[in-house]
Amino acid sequence: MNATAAKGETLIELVGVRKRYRFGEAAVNALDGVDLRVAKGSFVGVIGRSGSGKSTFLNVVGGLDRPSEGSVLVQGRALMGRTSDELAAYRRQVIGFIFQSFNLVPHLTALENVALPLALAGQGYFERRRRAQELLDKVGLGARTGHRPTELSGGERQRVAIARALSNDPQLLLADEPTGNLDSRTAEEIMGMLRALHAEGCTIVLVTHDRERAERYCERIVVLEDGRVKEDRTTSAALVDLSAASVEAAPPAEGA
Amino acid sequence: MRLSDVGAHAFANLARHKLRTALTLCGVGIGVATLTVMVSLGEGIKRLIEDQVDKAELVTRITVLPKGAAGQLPIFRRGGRGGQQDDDEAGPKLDDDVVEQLGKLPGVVVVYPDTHTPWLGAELDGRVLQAESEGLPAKAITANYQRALLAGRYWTEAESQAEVAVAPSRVLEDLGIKPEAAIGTRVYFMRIDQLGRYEMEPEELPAAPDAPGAEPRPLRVRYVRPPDARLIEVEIIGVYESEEFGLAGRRFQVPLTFGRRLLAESGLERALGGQASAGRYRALTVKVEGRTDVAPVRERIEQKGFDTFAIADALKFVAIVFAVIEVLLAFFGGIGLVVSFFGIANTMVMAVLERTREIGVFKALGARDRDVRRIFLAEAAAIGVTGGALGVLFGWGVGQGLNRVGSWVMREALNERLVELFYVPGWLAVACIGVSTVVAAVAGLYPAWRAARLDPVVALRME
Ligand SMILES: Nc1ncnc2c1ncn2[C@@H]1O[C@H](COP(=O)(O)OP(=O)(O)OP(=O)(O)O)[C@@H](O)[C@H]1O
Ligand SMILES: [Mg+2]
Repeated sequence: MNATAAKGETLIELVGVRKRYRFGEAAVNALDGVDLRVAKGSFVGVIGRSGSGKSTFLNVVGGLDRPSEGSVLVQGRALMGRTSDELAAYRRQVIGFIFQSFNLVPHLTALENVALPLALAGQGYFERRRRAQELLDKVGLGARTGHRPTELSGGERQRVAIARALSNDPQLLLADEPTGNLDSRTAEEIMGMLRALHAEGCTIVLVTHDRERAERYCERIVVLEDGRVKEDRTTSAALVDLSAASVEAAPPAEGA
Repeated sequence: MRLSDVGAHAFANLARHKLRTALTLCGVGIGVATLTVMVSLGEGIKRLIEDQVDKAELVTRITVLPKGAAGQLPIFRRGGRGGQQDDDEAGPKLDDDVVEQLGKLPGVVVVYPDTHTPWLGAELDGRVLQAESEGLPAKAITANYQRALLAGRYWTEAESQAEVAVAPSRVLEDLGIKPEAAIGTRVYFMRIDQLGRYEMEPEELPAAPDAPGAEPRPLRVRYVRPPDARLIEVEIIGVYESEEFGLAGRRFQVPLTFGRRLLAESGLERALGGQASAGRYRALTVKVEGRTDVAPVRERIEQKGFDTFAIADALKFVAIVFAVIEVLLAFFGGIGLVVSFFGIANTMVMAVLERTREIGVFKALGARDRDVRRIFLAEAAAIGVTGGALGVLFGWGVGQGLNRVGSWVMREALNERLVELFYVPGWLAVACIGVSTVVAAVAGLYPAWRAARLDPVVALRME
């Protein structure tokens, strides 16, 4: 499709994806014929106005939602026609979700939250806790494992959420406005962390309102408008050498 | 998701909402407690009756009758069939040979002829009364008999020819004689018609009227024995608690040989059937080792051409009656469970509403519908198990309390004994907890199904 797609093999492909919501006679197309490829190892920023269909796009890619039309292919295999159990397995094995409002389980500790996807996958108690501890160390919260979400700041919560999204070693990270609830300094930290994950080879699709930040961090920008792809281009960030980035020491970017 | 994790999650969620869980548990607990109390009342009464039957040794006893004689006294048969003699019984006769044969059957403890004499006159401590007698071989005196002994002793094997008696406590009580005081005294047995020949005389009429205010002294009556009375003098060597055996309370127990003689002397032998003194019996009593021996021994006896009767038959009926009573009690107790059903359903619907977003998160993280369903079902079942256990404990406590109160109120009649009217056997506790768990799980079905069906996208949009 474009230069970025050529960088690696295709991980996700959307072909003519529509998502229609009906209100009696009237209908809203949250997605209105989206064709898109996401290459393995890429860092895609999806931007657009509120209501343009960004979250719907992410949900469809993540197998949380089913398109009304068109198909989503994951490594060439369609999500369509899969049972809800198969979609759950897909989310469990392939996808890591990060949300704007963190969506941590309030009564579980940071460690338990991170271990939750592994528990759902049937992993044993000690094994999953060991893995969760590792991930919390990685996001710099190794000392806060016993804290509940309410005892953590917004930035810390989002770091826990990132650790949770990583727990199952996903092939694709889907982040829906992960910095939307954070001040700009903390937002930079989180973005730096995503960049570092990208540098480690993670494929990331990031939904954001913030065009400026997307330009700086993502290597490709997709603009949605009324459920259609309005614009799809690579950015200058695609040329930045990422070898120095690391998750532990995410460098605050210039704009902070 | 592993089931152990599902269970741990369920209990953690319950522990988190302490007040709500406590209130729901109260509801379930009271429901289960009601059920427990109701059924334990049925069980308790049944057990009291069974104990009574066991003590009376009735369940391990088989009565052997000549064929065709079951349930009928010859006195009635004769009237009905125009004066036929009792030789008209079809099968073999009950004689000492049969006693010996039956005694050799496996599982049989002892066989002895029925020498129960229902109508005898007796003179005791200067008063007269109607009495009964029963002859027993020393071998029939089991631990139950020994236990019921209030004073003195039973006869031994060596005394099988002795003319002694063990008196029922009830008769002595009526006469105002203490059991210990009766040992060594005499009782005089006679034909029942002799009682009418006794003359009554007031004893020592008061010489002067009672002093004012003093208790009027009861007028004592002396019975004057007719000079030509035919009496059989017997020494009382023991006293038994007649209530224990559930007998009428007038039955003197005597050695078998002597029992035969009393039956003959009563003049009732022919009326009752058989002729014990001539070695032909109207019935035999076969005592077996345990309840389970009753059926096989009966079968062997019937093969020999006799009719048999065992109280076990009647007990089957009692068991049916009690099953019906318990079902009724369980039905009323079960109403409490219906109430707790709705309580649990309500709690679970609330929990699903409240955790809608959490359900969305779980699904986004890869939980299957069935994982979500199991989480909520497990939560409902956990309420059921815990509430059931608490309810059983509470119901048991209430029953124990009522046992104590009841026994205290009735302490005079019960001789200070604790009577367990409410009794919770192990199976009842397990069944109550099981039923409570199943009821709770069923109450959780609909909420759990709703939770499992939630669209994750919609759930995640919830504020
Ligand atoms: N469950 C739904 N029922 C009806 N309409 C819906 C539903 N979900 C989304 N929509 C509509 O679909 C369109 C796209 O919604 P979506 O949430 O994808 O937008 P968005 O780009 O993520 O917006 P925002 O930036 O505010 O998060 C909107 O017009 C929304 O009203
Ligand atoms: Mg959105």
